[in-house]
Amino acid sequence: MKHDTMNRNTLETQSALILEHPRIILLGQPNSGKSTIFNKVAGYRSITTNFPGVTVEYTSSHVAIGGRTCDLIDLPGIYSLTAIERAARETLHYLIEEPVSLIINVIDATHLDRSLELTLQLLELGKPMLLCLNMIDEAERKGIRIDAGVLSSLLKLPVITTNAAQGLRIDALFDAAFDLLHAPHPVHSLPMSRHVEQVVEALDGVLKRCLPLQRISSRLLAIKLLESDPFFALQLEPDGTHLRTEVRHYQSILEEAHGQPADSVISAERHALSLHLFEQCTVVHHPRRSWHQWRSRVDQLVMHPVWGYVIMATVLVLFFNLIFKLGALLEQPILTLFTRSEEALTAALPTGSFYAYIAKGLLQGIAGGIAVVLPYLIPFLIGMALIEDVGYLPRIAFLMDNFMHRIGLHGTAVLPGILGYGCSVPAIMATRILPSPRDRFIAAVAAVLVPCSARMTIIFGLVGYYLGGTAALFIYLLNIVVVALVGTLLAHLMPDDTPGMVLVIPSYKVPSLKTILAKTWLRSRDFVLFAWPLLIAGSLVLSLSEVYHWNRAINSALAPLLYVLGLPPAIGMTLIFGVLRKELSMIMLIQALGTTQVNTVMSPEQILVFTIFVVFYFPCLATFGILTREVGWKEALAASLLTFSIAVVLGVVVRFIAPWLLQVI
Amino acid sequence: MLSSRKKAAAASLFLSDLHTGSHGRIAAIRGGWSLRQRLNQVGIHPGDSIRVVRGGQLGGPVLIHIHSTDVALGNRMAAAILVDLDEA
Repeated sequence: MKHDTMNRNTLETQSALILEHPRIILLGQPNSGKSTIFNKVAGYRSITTNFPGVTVEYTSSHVAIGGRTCDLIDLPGIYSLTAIERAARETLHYLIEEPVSLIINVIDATHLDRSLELTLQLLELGKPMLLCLNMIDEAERKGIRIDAGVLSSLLKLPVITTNAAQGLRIDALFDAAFDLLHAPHPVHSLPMSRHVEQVVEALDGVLKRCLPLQRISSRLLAIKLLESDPFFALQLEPDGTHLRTEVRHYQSILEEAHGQPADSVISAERHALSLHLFEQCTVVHHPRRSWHQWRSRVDQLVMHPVWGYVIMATVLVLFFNLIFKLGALLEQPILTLFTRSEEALTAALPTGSFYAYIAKGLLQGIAGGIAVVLPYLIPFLIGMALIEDVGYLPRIAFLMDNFMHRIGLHGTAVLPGILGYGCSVPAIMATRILPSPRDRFIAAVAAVLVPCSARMTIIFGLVGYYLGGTAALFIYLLNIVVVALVGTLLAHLMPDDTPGMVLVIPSYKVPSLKTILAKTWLRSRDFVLFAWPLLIAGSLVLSLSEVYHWNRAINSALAPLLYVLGLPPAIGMTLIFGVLRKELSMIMLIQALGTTQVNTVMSPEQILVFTIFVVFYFPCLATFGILTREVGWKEALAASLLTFSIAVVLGVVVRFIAPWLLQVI
Repeated sequence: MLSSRKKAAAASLFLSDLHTGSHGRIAAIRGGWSLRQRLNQVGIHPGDSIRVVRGGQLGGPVLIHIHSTDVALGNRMAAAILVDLDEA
């Protein structure tokens, strides 16, 4: 029994497109190498990571391969056509709404059995398709030998093997794709077992009669409706009452015959069919023992309930130490350079003139960006890319799952938290990997609260310098406690609807230098284009405030707040500076107080209160900007109000317990 | 404790209660639509053989090996999966 699912309607609208301006999409399960293939042909534009589900938005590029051109689209990875996560919904939406000339189904050959479940569903779309068996060499190493010819004849699709990470056979893949575009042949879906197939066909028949013109094949719709898929159920609207009863009827037939919910019946069918296909085209040898044992031994240690945490702590401490050492090394000469240029500038322009202030503001803004980006952000991103590409992050997520549950999140949310210690901006962007808006919001708030490297300079420069290292450590610990409390609070206010983490732990990979550098560039570009202009604008505003003596007005406006916190009124302006650029708080504190010896004018208690307040009080302008983009205006405002309240409460509490606290720490 | 389990091989156990190194077969998934879907998606179905790489008796996540893949499951996810242990 064969089913020609090529929908005539979609076929006609597409035929014109196919040759004129073909649109090829890369589609597959998470971490199967779609972005790697995309980057090989389109140049580095799509972030790849050894962490499932990193592509959360689609990337598109016009590419020319061997003299032929097409639009190539890298869609977020999906495990099935039932979209549960946000990124997967985007993929599904794209598949149904946009004209697609050809699908390249990218498969991680080491997980062929699981991947075929998606392939079977994609066949139902009835669009021209070919299979790309990626990471074929790794499958061989694992002892999985796949006969691509057999698979091709079973599915009646072209099957091309590739090793995208090394750029092998990518040309062959696209040659086959273009050939298929010029000579498309119908795609056949594979039948399920007899009884299930009869039910699917019966519902398919009903749908064909009632919904004659559909963008998706009625057979796919029938299957997905039997699976109670909410996305496809929308296709029945607006007047689907009659059809819903029909669907219910066929579901109950399946349920009675198989003693399971209809979605489980269909899913089990697909699973059995995939395993059957897998067995027909694959020979599994015992892998070379050394390889197999190596990975499982490493994971026994890395994910051990005791040693796992020791290793994690060591890796993170080393990681941060290395970055900060390297950063400090680079920062000094850069700052010296800028101090000299500032001196030269002051000498060249008449003192106190309007232009001198403007020039100074501009220079400080540019310098601030360079002094943060070059020494800290770039080493951080390189280190991060390294940890990511090796495949360590999913292991951290596993280790931290228990702790993260306490703050209402899952292990996956640990990634933005770790990134937050570097810079809040990339941390907030990383919340996209989380499935629900709720998780994204809580993780974004946590990422804002975690002291970034700019706040670290304040913690170490003020508290560390004047009150000692233990006091600095105390602030970090206090911060973790606060993040945990806020997380718990938000988790209570916004009840969880997802039952927990399901994370495929990928194999370890040898990272490539090129990918790491390209990724670092791509991520720092986000900072350069988005955050840096804000930094420069902020500096200009600060300069203007000096020209027009806004600081007096601001100081008196902030006087009540400073009174509550028990801080000198002269430092009000520094808090505004801190919103623009966190690390400026300390620099401006020195300026506002008129001395580099802060401890001569501020008591140890005041230094502690000031630092704690500045660490928590408000996300910097760049962070706020990213926050509005990622979680929305209202949520960004709510998050900022929340952090501000936390800062005031903590400031006041610490003010009163500081004398006792300082004796303890 | 393990010997008593061997005797009662017919009874299914929750995945979240299994020790590191246990082998078994998934007997059932007790959960709603979205939980079933999320597990099915990554290749976890009733009838599949699994090995517990890292047990979650202390309330932590569970790491299982299934169809040549390692999958980490939150403790609540694992508590929805019933497993029949293989006779040792």
